[in-house]
Amino acid sequence: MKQELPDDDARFAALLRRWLSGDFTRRDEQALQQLVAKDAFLREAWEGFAGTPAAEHQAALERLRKRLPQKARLGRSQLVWRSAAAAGALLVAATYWWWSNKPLLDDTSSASAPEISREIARVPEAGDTSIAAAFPSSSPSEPSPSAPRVSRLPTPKGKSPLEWAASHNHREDDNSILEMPPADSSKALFQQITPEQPLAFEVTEPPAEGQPSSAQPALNIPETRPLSADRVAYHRPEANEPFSRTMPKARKEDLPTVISTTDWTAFWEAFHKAAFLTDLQPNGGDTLRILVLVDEQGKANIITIEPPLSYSDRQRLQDLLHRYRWMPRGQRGLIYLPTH
Amino acid sequence: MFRLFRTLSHQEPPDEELLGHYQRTGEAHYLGQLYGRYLPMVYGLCLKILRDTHAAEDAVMSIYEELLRKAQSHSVQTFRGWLYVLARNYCLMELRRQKRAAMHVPLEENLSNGANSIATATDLWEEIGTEEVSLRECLEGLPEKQRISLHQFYFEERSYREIAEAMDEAIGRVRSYIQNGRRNLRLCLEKKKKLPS
Repeated sequence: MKQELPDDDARFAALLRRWLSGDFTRRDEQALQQLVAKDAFLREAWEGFAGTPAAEHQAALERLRKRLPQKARLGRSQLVWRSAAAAGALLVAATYWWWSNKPLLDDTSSASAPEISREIARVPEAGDTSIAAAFPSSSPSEPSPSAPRVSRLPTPKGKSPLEWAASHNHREDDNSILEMPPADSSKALFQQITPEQPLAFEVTEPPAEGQPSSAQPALNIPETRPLSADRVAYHRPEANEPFSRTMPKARKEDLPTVISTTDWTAFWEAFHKAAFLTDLQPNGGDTLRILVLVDEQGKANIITIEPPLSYSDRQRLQDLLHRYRWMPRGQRGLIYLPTH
Repeated sequence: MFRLFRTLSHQEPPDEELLGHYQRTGEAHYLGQLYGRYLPMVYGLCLKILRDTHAAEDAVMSIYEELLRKAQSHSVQTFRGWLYVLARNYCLMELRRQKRAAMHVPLEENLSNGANSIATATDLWEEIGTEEVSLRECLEGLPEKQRISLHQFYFEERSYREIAEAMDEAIGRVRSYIQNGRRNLRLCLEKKKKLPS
């Protein structure tokens, strides 16, 4: 590959931009022809555009760009500095964690599964406007291990949660539904979530109580890091407060249909458990379905989860989490995650 | 708009550095940033092979998914060249799948037809410069909008936008007029060569 290719790519991009915007002239055409004559990639790309001159390429490229995972782009020097800083912080954090968590590990590892389940599946408080309060009959049930996989959507008053949400407490245009296509094993994009492949969720939290809505969120990024198959570390950056908790393997039948959470950390704990810590049958080829409601207080509630599987399409999950900005005040989302 | 054409600048890490970050961390946004640099090129390549904008869009995302897996396990010397080969192979395979599902059409024939019509489009103007009489006659025989668009683009050196505004047409339509006008012009001139008066 020739050394000047990146510059040629830049020139090609500039000319293509002019072609798409309509500022393209005969001189541009000549320059483009000279450019694409030197490189097969550019030539074939140009032939593709020129072969469909009337199509809305600009819109297509915008759509594609939005589908790629985005993150604040860093300059090279920033990357170097941040990498160095991250490496240093990691070293300090690892040392700190080693010394500070050993007692905690001993304490929490003795917690029983029912205790943990109760903690996650919190019963809504009086006056709670969350979805859980609207489904009093759909509190976590005692499952039978042999129970068939059936729809777990609670349907009070003959309505589905979505219908309920649409008619209660939320604007029609505030409905964010994101449906992913079903899993396709032939594309082989599935990764098992393991301690070596941790997940970090980005969410936007509501501002601290008493603060205006434009204020900074109370908690920016709760980091979730699996330490082992059944143990998860959490870190609250603003308080520099790491802690860990044993998350016992769960059965899908054990998952509650309604999880009312009091804060985002609890929300992600429940989400993480449902999505990644549940023992399931392989080759289910099914879809993990999570209905989430964020109420007026910015409280996230998982309405229903069905049926989670042990393998999840990690990239689609990352994509989903990057695209979907969790904002307070009456937002809700229906999430379908392809699983395998 | 400008975000669509992010190109390598001195402030941005080179391809191989981003690829290295992805291979070490598994964080998809590194690969997303890297792939984004080549998005228009991959899209154009797929468009050329598949001849359908929706199929090309789907292919671009499928190639990205393939990249996510392969970039982890492959030792890549030059990302750009590797991506070109991977994307091209994917689109060719996709085309074969489509053809197999529809009807049998020789693949290379299908590709070369499209390529010729585009690759030689602008050479045409220089080639026909010496055949002014034939050119004039062929131009006169073109549909009006194709003729006006070609004239304004080549003789008056106007941009697509200026022509579109003058004709009160969408820019995409003007691009089509010019593209089709060139093709018709070529066909007309070739016909005249074969049948000298």
